[in-house]
Amino acid sequence: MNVMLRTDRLAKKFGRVEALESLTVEVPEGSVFALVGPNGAGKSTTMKICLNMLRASSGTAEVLGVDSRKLSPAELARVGYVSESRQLPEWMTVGRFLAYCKEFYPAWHDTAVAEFVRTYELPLDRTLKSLSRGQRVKAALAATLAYHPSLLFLDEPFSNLDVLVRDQVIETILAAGTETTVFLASHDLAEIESFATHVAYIDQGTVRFTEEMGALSTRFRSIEVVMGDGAAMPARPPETWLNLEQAGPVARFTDSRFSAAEHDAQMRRVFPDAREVNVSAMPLRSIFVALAKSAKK
Amino acid sequence: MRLVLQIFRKDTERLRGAILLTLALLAYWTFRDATLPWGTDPRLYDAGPDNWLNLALPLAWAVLIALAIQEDSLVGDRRFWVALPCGWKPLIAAKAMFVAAFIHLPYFIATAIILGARGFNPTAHLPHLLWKQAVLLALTIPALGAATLVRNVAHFLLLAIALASAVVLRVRDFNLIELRGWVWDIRWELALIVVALGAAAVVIFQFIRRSTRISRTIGVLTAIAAACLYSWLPRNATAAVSAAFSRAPGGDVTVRVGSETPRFSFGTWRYNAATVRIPLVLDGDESFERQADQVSLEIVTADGNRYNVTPARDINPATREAVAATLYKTPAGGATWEVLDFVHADVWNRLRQGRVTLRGRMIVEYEQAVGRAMLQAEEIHCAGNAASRFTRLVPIVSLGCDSVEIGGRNIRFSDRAGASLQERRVSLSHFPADPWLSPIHRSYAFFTSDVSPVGYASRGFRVVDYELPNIDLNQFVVEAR
Repeated sequence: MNVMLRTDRLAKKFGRVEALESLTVEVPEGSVFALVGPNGAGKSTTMKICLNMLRASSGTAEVLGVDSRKLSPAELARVGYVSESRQLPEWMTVGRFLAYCKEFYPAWHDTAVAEFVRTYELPLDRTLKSLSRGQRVKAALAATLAYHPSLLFLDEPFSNLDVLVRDQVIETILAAGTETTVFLASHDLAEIESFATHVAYIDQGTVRFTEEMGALSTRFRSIEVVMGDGAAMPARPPETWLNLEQAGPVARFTDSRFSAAEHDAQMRRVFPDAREVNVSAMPLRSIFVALAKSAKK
Repeated sequence: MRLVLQIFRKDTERLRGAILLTLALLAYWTFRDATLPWGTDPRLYDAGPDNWLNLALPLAWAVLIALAIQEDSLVGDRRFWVALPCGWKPLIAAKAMFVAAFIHLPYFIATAIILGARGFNPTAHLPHLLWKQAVLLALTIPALGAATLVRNVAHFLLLAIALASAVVLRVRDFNLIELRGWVWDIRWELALIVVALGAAAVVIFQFIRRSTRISRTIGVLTAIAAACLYSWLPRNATAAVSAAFSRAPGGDVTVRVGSETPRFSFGTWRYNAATVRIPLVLDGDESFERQADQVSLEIVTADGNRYNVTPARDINPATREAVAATLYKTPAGGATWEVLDFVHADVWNRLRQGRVTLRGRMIVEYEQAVGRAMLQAEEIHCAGNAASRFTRLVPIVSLGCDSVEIGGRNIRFSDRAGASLQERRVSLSHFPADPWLSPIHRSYAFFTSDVSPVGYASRGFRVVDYELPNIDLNQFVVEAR
């Protein structure tokens, strides 16, 4: 497996604030790797370090096998970056913007750009400043995907976009296929769930876990136990159970290491008087809410 | 080169309004400077719009530079260009091309137009025009450096105002028109060179590394170094540097006491305890005129006591031991006078009791007359490469003189009988003016008699140490209370 992006114990301090603390991830080639976490978790900082926009306080980042601090124009020509916080030259018309970007990328495809312009209905004669947020993201995506980047960084690409535009953006990303590895940062979990192949959860500058989406969905389960009369909550529940709460005779928690084979035996052991046990799969959003609540405790 | 042109075109397109504005300002300044009436009194010029253009135009250029740099700002991590596959070399080359195309080149053309309009052949004065370009670099490089360190143009303006205020407060007389008489004291120039070098380092470092904190540190250290250099560099050092970089031909001079009798006071220190004028003779190659300026001086008494004497321009009259020294030359061919102003009576009374030794250091500028003397009403060519014109105003004769290579300070006047009118400088009848943007050195003078101006070209400097033993100060007193 080729690794397109690798960070090793990446740390970044802004004054006394620790934005990143020993972040280690590997993004395999052809994957859609989602870096998720709450606002201020360090997602954008990670991306900026990977693109040599910021310097890490310690640790390293490798992009396309090259130390991010030594990225040359040749490597950057194979990398795309779309971010809601990136300041585009807003005085340019869309047409001028695309023409300006073209000169920097030898692999630029005019036909691809024409296709994006048609699909996205981009007004070539309007300035970027006059476009809606969604149209601006589309213009930036068009200017990025026009040269078929090997690695595409997307920093909060869906933020403040309406549903239709989100779908269009996701379709575009998926259409890029496996030739473009996507490293995306978002807190929009519902969209990510539909197309990310890998996910890393980052909170307070630290990666809580990194996993393939399939394995993650299998591993987390929401469990509800209806206990017998007078039954008490377990004094020492397993550590993999998150957010164990009681409401009357009902105990609810998230099992972060669910195993169908061991589940029944474990329930009998911890809740010997249980009348009913309901196990349900969790959407990505619920998993992260559970993780976030657990982290706060 | 493709990327350089791409970025350059983008900046030009984006900033066309600001470019047109600075070009319009430059065009206006060019018109004003080219058509400035002959013999304009610099005191009027000093307060007029033409002089303010010497401030406004550089400020406009500096803002244009800041706008160009901020188009692809080096500070912050949100700029579009940072993730583009564009190394620092095309970027810095594009910005340099922008500055060259819209500041240096137009200024070069403007200065050439002014020379032509004032009767000089620009081609013949190409080295001078290139020198003016080098002077302009002292503005554009620091402006580039500052622009790479700030987050936006508003911050740049604040920084520019803060730096300009600091300079004005420190230098105090921030002459847009230079009226100083001596060019050997190059502290200001050295400070500017330090600033330009430091700014160049900031620009290169910031473009290569985009490490704003380190670059800002370099910038601050540069400013501190330049301020220290300007404030505390000893006169001995600046004299040595001037003499080293511009060593006069011909041999050294020796200094001895002359035989002329002091006649009148220098007139600067009207409330001194005493003023002494010692005539000096500077022996050496007779093919040069020499102007001497005091670098340092000490008076040593017979019993070994030493009194440091301060060059007059640095004197602080409040100092208890203050004695001021000035080397002053009377009309061409006359003596050079060592003028000592004793501010406090007790110092004077001590030193007049016995004979003393004067140990001093002077810097001597070697000069030669160029061209021929010009008679009244004759036009042009008073010094071979200068232009002048008389205008008769009742009841005086006023004279304006344009010069390319000769500073106004080096134009001497004599009346038609040939007697030098050099002393008139003291009475403020002669005003050399060197607005820093203009390629023309101008001077203005007025006399009650017809005059002939002669231009003198500097041939360099020499530092001369001298000792005058066994001096009885009482012999040379011209004024005592």
